[in-house]
Amino acid sequence: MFDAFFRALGRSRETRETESHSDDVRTDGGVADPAMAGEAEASSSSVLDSEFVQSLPFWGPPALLVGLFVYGAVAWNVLISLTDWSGLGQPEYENFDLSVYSQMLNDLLDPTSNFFVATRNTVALLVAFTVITLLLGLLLAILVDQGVRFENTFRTIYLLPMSLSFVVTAIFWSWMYNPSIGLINETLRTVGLGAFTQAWLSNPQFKLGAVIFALMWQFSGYAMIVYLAGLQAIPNEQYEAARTDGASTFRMYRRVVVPQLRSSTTSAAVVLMVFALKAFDFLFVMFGPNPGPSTDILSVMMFREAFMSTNWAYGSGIATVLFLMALGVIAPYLYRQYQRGEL
Amino acid sequence: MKENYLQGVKSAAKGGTENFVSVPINIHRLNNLFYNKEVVESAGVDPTNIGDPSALMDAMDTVAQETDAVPMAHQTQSPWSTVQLWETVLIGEQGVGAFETFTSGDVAGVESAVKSALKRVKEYSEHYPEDAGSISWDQGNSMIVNGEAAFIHQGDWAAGQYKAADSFEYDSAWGNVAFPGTEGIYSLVMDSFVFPKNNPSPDATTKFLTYCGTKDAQKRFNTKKGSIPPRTDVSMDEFGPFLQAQSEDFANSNQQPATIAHGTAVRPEIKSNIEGAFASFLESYNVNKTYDELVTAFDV
Amino acid sequence: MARLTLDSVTKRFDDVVAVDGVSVDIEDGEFLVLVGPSGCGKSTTLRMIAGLESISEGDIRLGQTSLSGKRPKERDIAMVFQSYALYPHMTVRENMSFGLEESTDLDDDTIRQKVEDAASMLDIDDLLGRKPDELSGGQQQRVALGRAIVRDPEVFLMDEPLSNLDAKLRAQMRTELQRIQENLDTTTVYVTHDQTEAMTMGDRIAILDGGHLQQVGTPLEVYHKPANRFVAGFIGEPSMNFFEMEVQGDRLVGDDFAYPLSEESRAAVEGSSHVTLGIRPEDVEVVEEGDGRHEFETVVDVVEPMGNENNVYLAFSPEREHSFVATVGGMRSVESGQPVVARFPESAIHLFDAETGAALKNRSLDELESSEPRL
Repeated sequence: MFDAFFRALGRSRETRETESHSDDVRTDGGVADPAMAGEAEASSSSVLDSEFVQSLPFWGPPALLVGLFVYGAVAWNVLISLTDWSGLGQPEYENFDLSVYSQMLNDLLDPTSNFFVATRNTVALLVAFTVITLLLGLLLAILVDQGVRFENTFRTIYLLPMSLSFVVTAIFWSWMYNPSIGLINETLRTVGLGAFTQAWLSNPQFKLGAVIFALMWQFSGYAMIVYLAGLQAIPNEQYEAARTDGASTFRMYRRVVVPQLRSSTTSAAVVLMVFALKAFDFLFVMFGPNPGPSTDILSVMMFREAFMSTNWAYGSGIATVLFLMALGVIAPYLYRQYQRGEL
Repeated sequence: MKENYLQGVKSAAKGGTENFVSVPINIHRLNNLFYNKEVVESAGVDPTNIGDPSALMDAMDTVAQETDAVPMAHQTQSPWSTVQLWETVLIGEQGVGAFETFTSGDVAGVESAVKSALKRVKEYSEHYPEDAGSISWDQGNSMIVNGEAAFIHQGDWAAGQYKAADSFEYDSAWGNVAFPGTEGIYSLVMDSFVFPKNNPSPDATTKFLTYCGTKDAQKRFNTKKGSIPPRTDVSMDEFGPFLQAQSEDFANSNQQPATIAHGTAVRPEIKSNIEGAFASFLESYNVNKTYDELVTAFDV
Repeated sequence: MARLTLDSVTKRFDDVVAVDGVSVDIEDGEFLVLVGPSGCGKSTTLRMIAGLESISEGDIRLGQTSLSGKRPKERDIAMVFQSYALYPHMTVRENMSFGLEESTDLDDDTIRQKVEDAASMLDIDDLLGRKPDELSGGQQQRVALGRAIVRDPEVFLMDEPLSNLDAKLRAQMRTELQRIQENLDTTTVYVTHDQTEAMTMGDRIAILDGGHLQQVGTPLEVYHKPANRFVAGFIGEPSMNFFEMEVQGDRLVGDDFAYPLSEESRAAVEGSSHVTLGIRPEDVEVVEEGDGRHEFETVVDVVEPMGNENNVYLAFSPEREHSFVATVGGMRSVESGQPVVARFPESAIHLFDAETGAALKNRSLDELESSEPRL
């Protein structure tokens, strides 16, 4: 199974060596001679073999472990989604079909189905959470970068929430959102906005928003750190040049600074989106396995289908969909890295 | 050993098959209504006199009018508490027969009973704490302990919290009755050890299960757990007054239905679907929509 | 119109005074070079003109209008940065258009025209579609200039714009910058630490040290008539030689030699007990032998051949560590260890007060005028 991979690995090394050889040929003005290049390849292949074999003990075991437990498990999950395994007992690996996926497609056409609702909420969470968190992170980063004192302290303060586990923050926020004693409503009442108090976690209108807000709280510090690094990589002269060029502060950030943060945005967005897909523990701790239609997301539904309803095949199907979504998030990023030769 | 178990327990231990497949080790009762004596007394309500779920609504109205306490310390953060409240109301209003028709999958056959119980639960929701959606059941239960709430419907594991609380004694500070309309009924929440089919050590399993069935094992296990022994011939001397009363109710009960919320009445998938229906019920309190979802919950 | 006036400009950072009461008048179209060692406050002065730093005291006026308190965008000033500060995500065209888009109401066509004109003046028409990271250092430098030129501002500010270029390109750009500045006739303030740039480019040079303005003058003025010992030492390469001397009647007596003074020079040092005698290396005459009043026996320590000339380090005796420099013709053969006689012509010496550093006597220019064709 790994043969092709190893061959590819070997090939890229070979081409690199050939190139360096032909470079040597070119330096004295000659054109690369195919015979010489062939010779170079032949002579380098024995070196390559021994290098390959010698390095095997170093990358072999981890590659095997990762291959088995990550990629192997992913493949197995896909396989299970093709069976009709449900209930207690073992799956039968005999009749593979796409019935799970056709059921999902049908469900997608029915706006009242769990799958439709969970998919809608997942996408909403993914998009809203990522966009809002990035914006807030950018804002915080710009403020902290304005030469605010105690920059390091602020950085730590804002980053700390991210180091907390979802379990902690879920419980913490369910207290914050408590309608009668929670800090949010208490604050609203104190500042005379009592009319805006809500049962944040019970009212289906606000439930998902409350979750997104809490997640944003947890991750905006991370986005800030990424942006701050990006901002600090921009030399001061850029800001000064923009100012002497006559740009206002807002225009300076919009036209000169923010466009230079594109790679920060991409890398932060990828991490945030993947976290959004994995928000399972947060919702599970806050609402249990049944968050209700306004807040149900695919990862919670996956757990419910697999471990509560024992619809293993359908649960695996949802897992596969989540995997593909994560891949969809990461792939463009990886492709860009690859294009830039950073991979 | 068989003759020392009640009928409902025995049928649960068969798990819908012809033979016994498990040995029950403990029994919790689900259809309890716990109350804080001081609160109900100051409201002038006598819990032992509440005849049915509708009368409970009246009693809670009275509590709301007469005191500052929350009438029912119910949680809606996750749906299981509401599933068990609804199934208990269903039994309280329509009896075990309607409940079992429902769990057999014939939802349409008891449509009006199902809807009526849903409406009742919707009525009750007026009397939940303001923060019902943000608390867990034990946070609700501590409102009873603190005198902030009058009633809570919960399994008798709730009593463990009362026992742990300082100076909150059974019969003087708190009491319990069978949930209105369910006298003589003991809804079973039962833990059992099963005899698995694929088993590398059947002899050891047999030996262990035989021990689980003994009076000694059931006494030792249940005094710690706060539940009553499934066997009716275990001496209750060491169990304390509350569990003794529960045990007496159990021995005198005529019907021992299983429960949906705790997974003994329906298959896991159906239970999960029903919980899903109630999760959306808690968001919308739409009786007809929830009824439809309960019907489809059995479509598996 | 665009006469730029610095009026007792002072800049304090907390308790450090970076610029202390600097006053300069820069005429319309003048090319003023601000020069000084690093940390002398020249960049801070420039940044105050640009509006990137506030002015602690004093005022900066453009024409009759005070610039103090005005934001950079209200000043009609363009700046070229040492690092160029090109916007990496914009093409050359976008880089050059940016300032016009932000500071003027010109329509897109006019902007395009202006950018293209400026680009062809700098010979970077072909680069308009490229991003900065696709350009060489010299090309980036031109784009940075273009970005300033296209704005057609009242004042150009340049902060060591050539220091990132290699020596050859730097010399080339120096000439080109001067040409452009002459063509545009825009008032320019140019900051550098390189005295060669200062000498070759500026209409006038302002020398700063420790936040204080030392002297403002044309290159030849500051070279030949330095106001004080700092200017004398800073301008010129190799530096002027200095000797600490005591005034004893009509002679100056130092550790290594005594220097008899003429009546005129004696009058100049009247009132000072200690002076510094300065003489530029090219004014030290190296002769085989002699016994005149201003001739001293020395030993050649090190010879630095420069091709057209040799820098010869001379010591009064082989044991003395202190040596001084004389510049002699490149064809003249001098060897280390060789005894030579050095002559300090009295017409070429500078005398500075040892305490204040102020110039008491500068070299006579009579001789200079006669030899002008040599320059």
